[in-house]
Amino acid sequence: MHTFSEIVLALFLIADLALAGASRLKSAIRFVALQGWIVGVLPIFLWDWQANGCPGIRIWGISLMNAVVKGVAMPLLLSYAVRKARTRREVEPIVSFQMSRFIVFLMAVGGFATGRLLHIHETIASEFAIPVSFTTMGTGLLLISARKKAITQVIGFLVLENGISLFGAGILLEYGIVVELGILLDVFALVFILGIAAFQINRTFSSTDTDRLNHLGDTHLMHPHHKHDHVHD
Amino acid sequence: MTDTLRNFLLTLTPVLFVANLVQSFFYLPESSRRESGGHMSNSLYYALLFLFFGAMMFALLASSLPLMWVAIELTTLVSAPLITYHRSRESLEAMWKYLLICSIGIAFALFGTMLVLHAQSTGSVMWYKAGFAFVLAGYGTKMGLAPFHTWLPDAHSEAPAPVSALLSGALLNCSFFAIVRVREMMPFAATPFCDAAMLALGILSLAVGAVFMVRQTDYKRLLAYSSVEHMGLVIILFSLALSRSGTLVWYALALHIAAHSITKTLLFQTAGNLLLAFRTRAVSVVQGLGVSMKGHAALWLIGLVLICGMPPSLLFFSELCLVLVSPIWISATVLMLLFIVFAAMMKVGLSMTFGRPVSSFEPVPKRLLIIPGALLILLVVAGVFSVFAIVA
Repeated sequence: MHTFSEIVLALFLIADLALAGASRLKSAIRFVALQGWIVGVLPIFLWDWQANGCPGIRIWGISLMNAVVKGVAMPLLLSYAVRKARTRREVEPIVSFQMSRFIVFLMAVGGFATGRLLHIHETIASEFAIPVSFTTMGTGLLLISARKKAITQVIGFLVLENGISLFGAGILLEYGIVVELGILLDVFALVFILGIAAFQINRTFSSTDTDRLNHLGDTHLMHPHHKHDHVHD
Repeated sequence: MTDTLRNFLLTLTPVLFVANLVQSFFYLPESSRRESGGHMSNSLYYALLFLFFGAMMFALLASSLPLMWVAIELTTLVSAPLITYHRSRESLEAMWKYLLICSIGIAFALFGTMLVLHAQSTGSVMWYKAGFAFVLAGYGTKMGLAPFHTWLPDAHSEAPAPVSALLSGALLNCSFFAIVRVREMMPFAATPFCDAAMLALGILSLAVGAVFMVRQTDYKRLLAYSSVEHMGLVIILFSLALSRSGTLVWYALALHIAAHSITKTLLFQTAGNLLLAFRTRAVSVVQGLGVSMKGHAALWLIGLVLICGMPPSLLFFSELCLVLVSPIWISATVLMLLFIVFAAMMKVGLSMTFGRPVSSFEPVPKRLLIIPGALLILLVVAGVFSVFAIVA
């Protein structure tokens, strides 16, 4: 099954590069969904079938649950938030798409180089899993910091989370079903709340650009008779 | 020691919760009567407040590290909507920063937890160290340690007073406990690295808190930076307690946590009342409390004196212990920074209490003073009792 898992991980890496260059929110959400699917089913691919036989119902259940929530439910939620907030389609980069692709490429090179240095391949299922997960985490942070739209930052957070889950799958970590469920539920609820917040930011600031979020800070002196600007409901 | 600390926090958190719950009953009707804009429905507010309390207790009681991670993330999720109780632009901005920064931090904490669990199966010290570094950065974000503290002043200043008090008094302690849990699992070879990292972050937090408190123009942000400062002291005390034999520093640590939580609750509640009366958080406007609102003036000034660690305060004993047991360069740095904090706090406290009184304010009902007043009496009695106990 190792060739299979390596093809899947290569797909994951391509999705990272595509996300860095995605100019439309719709395509970015699709790539995140693809990554979510892969993270979900990866434990099945990494499973040592010859030594251990068919994986138990628990592994199948967790994989399916992860794939459905990360690959279907959360992308649907994001598309709904995009529609609802009537966000213009463009992603609005602070760092250009070309440059972002190049940075992700450099991170991949760095990831594979450190992966070799760490000598971790004896304890993990696939040599590719750790470098790819590092690259994915880096891509997530890049999307959070180098894009203006609130929704794109949520997508960036999901990519970061996918990278961490990939790392967990790569080192064959098993928490048990309660914790898996808890983590999944937390991330889902977080995306839900972030989606609502992005919608409210859009309504309040007439834009989902987070560079408008600059009212708070220590540098500006408050106006003496400062009052809250309330949102009209 | 971890279990003792857990039991201690399990006792402290409900006390703080009840204090803020009761204060909410007094504060919210008064707040919605005065504020013209919309606010969250009160039933949702109380539901979220109880969930927040439940999530914090869950975090303290969780049996395994990943489960504790789930609980800590849950505290972020249920407390974030509470920050936007008043639906203003600023509170929305504060909530967005809180959610995004803390979630990224918490994501790193999950990564660190994975590294630690993997290190347990391989026994590699390098993986332990890497795991602790990520956990410290991750839960440190939630705890408000510099340089990951940037969400804290915004969230604490925008939230309604009882929520600010709970965030500062109870939530930061739970995040600290998460770091304690992971630190406990470190093998001996990794401990010098872990303790040095905690000490560095602690001193940096103390310094950042002190620098941002000087010339602070917003009294709620002043209290928020004071939380950053005190979390710095807590983590310094923790790293000292681990490297010193005996239980004295552990007692100082527990005393510091409790005294900070209760004093900060009292101060945030008083600040909330001042915000209701003057409708501004600007220090330059809220002046002359000693003439216009005598009860609040006493609470505010004595509260600020106590949080600085002046002798009747319990914080005096914990800070004294810190200065006595640590190496000379740490003692000197900490004392210098504490002096800056004291000067900044007193400048604000004195000008707000004794400045020229302003006429444009609306007094708040007496019942809003019950809880902070009771907390103040508790603190002063405990402080005076400790002074006599030590002298005798």
